[in-house]
Amino acid sequence: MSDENPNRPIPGFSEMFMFPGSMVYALDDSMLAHMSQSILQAINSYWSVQLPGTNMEVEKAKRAFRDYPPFKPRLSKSAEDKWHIFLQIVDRGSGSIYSPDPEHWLTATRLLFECKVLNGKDGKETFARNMEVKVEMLLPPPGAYPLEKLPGMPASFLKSFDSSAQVFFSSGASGTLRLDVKPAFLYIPEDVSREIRQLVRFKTEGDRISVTEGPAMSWTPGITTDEKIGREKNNTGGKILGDIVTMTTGVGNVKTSTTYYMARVQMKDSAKDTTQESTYTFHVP
Amino acid sequence: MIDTDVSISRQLLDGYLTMEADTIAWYGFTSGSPSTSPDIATSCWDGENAESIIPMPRSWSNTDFFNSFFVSGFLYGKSFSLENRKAGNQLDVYYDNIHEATLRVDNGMPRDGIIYKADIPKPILKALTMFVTVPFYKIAS
Repeated sequence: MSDENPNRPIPGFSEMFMFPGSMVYALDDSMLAHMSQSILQAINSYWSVQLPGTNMEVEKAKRAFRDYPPFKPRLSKSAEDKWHIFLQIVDRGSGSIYSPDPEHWLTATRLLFECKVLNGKDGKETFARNMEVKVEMLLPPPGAYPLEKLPGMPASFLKSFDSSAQVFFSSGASGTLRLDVKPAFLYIPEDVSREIRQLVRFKTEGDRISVTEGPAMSWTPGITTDEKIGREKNNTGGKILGDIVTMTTGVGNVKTSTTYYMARVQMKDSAKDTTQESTYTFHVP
Repeated sequence: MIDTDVSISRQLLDGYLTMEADTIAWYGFTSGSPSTSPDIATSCWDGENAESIIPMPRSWSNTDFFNSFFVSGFLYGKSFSLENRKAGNQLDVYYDNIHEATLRVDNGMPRDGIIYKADIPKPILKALTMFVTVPFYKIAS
């Protein structure tokens, strides 16, 4: 693998493949055009060339649950004697929900940039580089409708993608990069106009649940018990049919029964500021 | 606004809640979606600025906004419902056909949430919040 800037004009073409995972934006023509432009500008700037516009192709990974598509570009024997740029960007998805700051940040997605330049004369590799971009966003506030497929708002994501391309095709490229995006939420007019009275936060200590911010209340869920509340007997055949079956086969009627239960879930109102403790019981059939 | 009447009519209210000796609620638990599933996925925004609102194609929205959790009934004589219709383990709490609160739940325990500007008496809010901690799924399985 070489990280050297070839410092040589690239007169040839470029081929770009993108394998989407959850990368819904790559499947949108308008968004894809922006992303292609970012790549093209970064390449032109890095190698001081003026490549014509290029088409970025999007392909789905052929096998689900496979790690990632291999990146082993090859040139045909009839390839022209010029440098050929191959670029692959893999959407690795959000992966683990772990983040350095899980209380506030979520990994929206991870993009793996891989680039190789092959010399058309002998097929040898003259440039190779890869970089993983971790795109992160703030945890959504309560009450919001996060759009789970979107790795951030479109404009914010495009800005991050553009930054990624610029860093990737720069002399200071690193193996990893972290970028923030603005999260995307479903817009519902009703939600915007609704006035929020207050936030409420809960704390769980042992079995006791209490409100630490908001209207004071607390309770302690108890054990769940099951109580038999009824039983129903069923015969699979009628009386006459059953007798015939018994006479001809010697096998009696098949009888089944269904038993019904009611679950009782007790919760004790355990507010510290009250002397009276009430017991709530949820009866769940 | 949730059409509670429609939802209630398709299920049996055979669960009930007692406080000491008094029955204060009747309810039904349904593993399914509320009957009202409006196509609301037409625009997105950053959650802060109205200027960020943009239309979006249907393919950008979540596959299914409605999870399979739905409790509805009557509490202190008025209709209520708890619906898991937002992503991220959030429960929308309705009482008397008013959206009173949205609570975020982790592992069956309420974590945080918001209470909307509505005058909901504290005993009612408490009873509704307690519903969040009833392990319906465990009981049903």
